[in-house]
Amino acid sequence: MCKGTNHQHYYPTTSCELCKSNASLYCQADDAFLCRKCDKYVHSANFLARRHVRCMLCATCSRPTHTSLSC
Amino acid sequence: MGYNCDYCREARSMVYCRSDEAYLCLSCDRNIHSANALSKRHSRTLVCDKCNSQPAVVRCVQEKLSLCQNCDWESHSGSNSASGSHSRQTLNCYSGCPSAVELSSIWSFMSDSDNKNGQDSACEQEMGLMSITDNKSGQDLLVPAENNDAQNVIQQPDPNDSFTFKTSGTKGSEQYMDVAFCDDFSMDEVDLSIEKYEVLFGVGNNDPENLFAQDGIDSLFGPMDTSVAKESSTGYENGFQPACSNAASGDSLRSCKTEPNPCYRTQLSNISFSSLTGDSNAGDYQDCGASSILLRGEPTWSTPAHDSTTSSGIRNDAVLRYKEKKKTRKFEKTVRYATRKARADVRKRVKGRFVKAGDAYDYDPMSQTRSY
Repeated sequence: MCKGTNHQHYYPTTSCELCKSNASLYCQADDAFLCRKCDKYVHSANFLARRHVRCMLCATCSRPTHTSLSC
Repeated sequence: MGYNCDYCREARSMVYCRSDEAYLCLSCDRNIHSANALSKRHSRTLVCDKCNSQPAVVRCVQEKLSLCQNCDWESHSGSNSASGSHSRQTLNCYSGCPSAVELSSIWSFMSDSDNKNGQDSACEQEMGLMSITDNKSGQDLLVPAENNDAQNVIQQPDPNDSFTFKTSGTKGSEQYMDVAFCDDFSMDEVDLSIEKYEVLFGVGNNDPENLFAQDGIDSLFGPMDTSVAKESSTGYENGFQPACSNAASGDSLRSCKTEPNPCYRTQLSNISFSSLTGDSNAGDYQDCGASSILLRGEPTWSTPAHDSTTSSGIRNDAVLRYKEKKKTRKFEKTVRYATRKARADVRKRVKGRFVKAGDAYDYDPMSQTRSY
């Protein structure tokens, strides 16, 4: 796991699949990287989408962490 | 789950969405998966005709049933050699928003079945349900004319469809609020926990100084003097909140359950619990209330003789610590971790040193050597 210091390496940041800005979440059910706005839009559509578990991405290396959105 | 559509709970479920993990009828499937670009990507598959509770994986041509793995195994393996020879086709998944025509072309076996006998009830249902309207284009879709009586034309007025969209939209907007609230709330919780962590550990560092300053080291290791405890505790009890009273050690621990400080101190509690609770109250005070700090702070730092910033003070502290640790020295052979000893006992060695598993060794404790 990266320790959060991004001095040594340059990690490529994943971009949100809908709006191409920086992604901060990963939805396993949709298999998609999303930013918070798109995640709100997508997963508020119906109760089936709301059930999806999304996990936060590490701010430095953009890999899924074990932290998930608590809603 | 299973027989009825998970969304409308009215119609029978026809397809299973793997991403949403939900059984849906065709109308709801279309509504839900046309909402946004991500849901269009979900792959859906038919539901088992026999058990209606699992997604189907194969289609038995002879029986004209879509079966899940379990039902397929049950009906086609086992003792039945006749049924074991049924030919089976794998079922395809679909994604996106296909029209009824497209769906029937994917599952072409549906249109081939039972033209002679008249429709099976299941097949008829399927074809009837497949004539769903297209929300966007507003066309009425006709089932392919290959089926004799499957000329169902179900015309749902557009307001109905838009109505369903609207309700889901309003629900969605409500949920926006909840999601936003939840999101922010969760982030705040994270921040809170981090702040508390620093505060608590900041307090924890100060405590050894307090311990030395107030009662000296001997109090840590002395006998359990309840009189000493009472002196230190009564001094602090004046401003105390009732929750933090020193009447019972358990109370002081319970009052600040979220802090690890009590846990930190329970390690030392075996030695001298009474004096420590007096000191832990000092630590608790810094977290419990600002007003109490005024009462507490003065007795802690009012004695310059115990100040540890001067060089003689530092040396004094070091000497006292050395003398105390000297009392607990033990020169016997001690094992700190039994599991590590167990591991070390079986490792191969070369000249008494451990070697990696694949390397050469000249002593293996596992091999039994006989000495006579």
